[in-house]
Amino acid sequence: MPEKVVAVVLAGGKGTRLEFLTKKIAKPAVSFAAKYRIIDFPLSNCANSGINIVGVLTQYESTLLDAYVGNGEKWGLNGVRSLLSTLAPHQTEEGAFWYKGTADSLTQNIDFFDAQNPDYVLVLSGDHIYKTTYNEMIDLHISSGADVTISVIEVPTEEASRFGIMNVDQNDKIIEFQEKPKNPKSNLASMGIYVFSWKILRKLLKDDEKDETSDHDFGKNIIPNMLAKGRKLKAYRFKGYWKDVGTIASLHEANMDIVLGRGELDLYDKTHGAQIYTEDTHSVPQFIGKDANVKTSIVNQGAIILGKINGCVISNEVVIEKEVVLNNCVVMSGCVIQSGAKIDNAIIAPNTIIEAGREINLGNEKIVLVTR
Amino acid sequence: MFHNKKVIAFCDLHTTPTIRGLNETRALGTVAFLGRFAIMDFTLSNFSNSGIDRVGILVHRFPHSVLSHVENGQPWISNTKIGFQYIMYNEEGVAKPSFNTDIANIVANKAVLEREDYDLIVVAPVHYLASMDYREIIDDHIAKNAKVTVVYNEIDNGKTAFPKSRLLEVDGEGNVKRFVRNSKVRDNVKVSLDTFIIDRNEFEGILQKHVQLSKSSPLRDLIAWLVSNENLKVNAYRFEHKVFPILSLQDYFDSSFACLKYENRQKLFKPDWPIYTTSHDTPPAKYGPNADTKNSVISNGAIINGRVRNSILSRNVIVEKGALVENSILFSGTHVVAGSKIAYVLTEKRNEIQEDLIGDKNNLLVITKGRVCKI
Repeated sequence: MPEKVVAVVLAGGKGTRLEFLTKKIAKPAVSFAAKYRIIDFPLSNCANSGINIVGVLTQYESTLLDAYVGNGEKWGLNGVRSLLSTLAPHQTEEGAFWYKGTADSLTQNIDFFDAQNPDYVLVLSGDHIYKTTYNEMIDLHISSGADVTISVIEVPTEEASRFGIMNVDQNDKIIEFQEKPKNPKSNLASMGIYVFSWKILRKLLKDDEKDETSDHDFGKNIIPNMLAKGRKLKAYRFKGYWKDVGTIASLHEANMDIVLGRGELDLYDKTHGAQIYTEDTHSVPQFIGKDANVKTSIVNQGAIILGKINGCVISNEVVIEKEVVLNNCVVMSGCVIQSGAKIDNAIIAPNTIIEAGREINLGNEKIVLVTR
Repeated sequence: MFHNKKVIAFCDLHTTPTIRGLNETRALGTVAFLGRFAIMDFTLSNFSNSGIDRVGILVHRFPHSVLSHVENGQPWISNTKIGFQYIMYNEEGVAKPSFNTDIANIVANKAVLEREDYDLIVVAPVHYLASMDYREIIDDHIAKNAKVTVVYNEIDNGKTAFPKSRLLEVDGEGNVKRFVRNSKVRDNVKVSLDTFIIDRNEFEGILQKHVQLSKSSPLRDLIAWLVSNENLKVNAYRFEHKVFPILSLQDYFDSSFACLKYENRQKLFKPDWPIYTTSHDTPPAKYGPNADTKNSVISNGAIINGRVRNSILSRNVIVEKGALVENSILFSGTHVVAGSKIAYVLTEKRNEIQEDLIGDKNNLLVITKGRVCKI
């Protein structure tokens, strides 16, 4: 019998740096690359890894996210022996409590894990864009006998101070953790992806619950405490494309990575079990008009393009009218860009109507968010 | 809904014409339309949007193509416990093609009608594409106290269009006087859409007639015979909206290319009337730095870096840099290699085009697997 792995996706945070985009929806439900929502990536990765039991921890503006996650059908997680369950804060005999931190969100759902009785728990973040399978990381965790394995990625040294940095020995055993250090000792950034042995994690969560000084957070409390107590922490070196899309600029940049083919995230790999799965809207195929000019762009079904776009990401049910010029724009679903409008370097929030002839951010490199 | 009458609808694949190049190896209902849809999606979505959740698909030939498209029927069914979509297939009909009719199929699968309660049946083919609300037709059927209703479309190009269709002559009370074949002598005609609403009692009678009279007649011919010979009263319902017929390869091209016009797309695709289909998890269409696309319908998964004009591209079509595609319909997975030029071509799935293939408006080319057919 192979080891049983249950994954959880942390999807409850507010994501304030995405401004208006997360005003009414949780960050993992923000749209990405014309057709997807951010959470499609960890959930598709789970499906492609053969991890068929997944909990999605939701809290902030969870209505749309809960409906979107549904029974997991979009990712094939509705089959026999599969389970996709949203785990929101709930009332108990002790009272009703919001999730106090990432670790607390697991603690409050300890019954979910006990019912599944997994060997290992994979903790994922709901706001990362990357395509992988987790099997190699889990295999490393098992073969190394670690208490926790943390996925790390090499970042440019000058950017290391923006991340949680893991310092490792020659065997990739983690010996020190520095949260956003001024003088980083290495360039291995934590990706916020953990594999725990469930029995150990269960004890850690129970201990953390009793600690009144704790913020009940994996990065702030659980991991540093494990280091302090001499637990075995292993680093798994992730290779490939990975992006935390926590800001307007990084969300725009990740979209442009897809458009320009930068990085190694290939959405066009047709190999069975290597795709990113998502919602399929009931749209008519896209129409490109006789005076349109569409270059270096990705366009989803339901869009009508009559103007000129270059370096753009166009979601479903978007209308780009005649004589519109868009450069490096991410246009989310339902927007209408009326004739003659010109926009550079922007994210246009869903269902925004840009009036005819309007000019926005022309020639400016800084990415702007355009809203209603 | 339906005045408390229980309805079962049949998606009738028996009456579809055989169109060389399109349905020689699969059911016409499963042929792609506008890249994304299958032809039968329109009928199945019309049932669904009309609130008809109990459906039988009358499979004529090539059941594998139908099964692989409709899968478990879930894309069209509202409540997946209460609704159903039976695949009805008459194995005996394969050995006796002239007896492989829609009625024979229903008789062969009579367990379906024995098991499921119903007051009315709807029978609709797939080769007339339209957004059709059967609720309005059923309302008319009930208001007129009809036993049988046939749906027709009034057209003004009968001499050239709907070549194999039945026309109907209607009396002053709105009942069918007789059905005739379209002999292409008049432009302004009423063309039957082979769509029927039939009361249970009447339908059971027709099934009896099938056994007694002619086991080789399809439902529409039997109804026409009963009108002429036994004074069967058939209410004629005029469908006011535009219909896109697929009775020939030319029709298929014409109906497809008509949808390059916005006003025609608006007629076929209504905002509150989605056309559902099976999902293929394809990524958004991708346009490269050399892409140059005009007046075309493009499906997701397509990768375009060449020139595309007045064309319809299905899922996962690749048009390389320097290639030119004009006035063509490319089925899914077609790969047009750099430098090739194609015009007035329909390509089968997963074809690699490495040469120039130039047809013209009156000389359409169908490219099946490695083979060019002129139609």
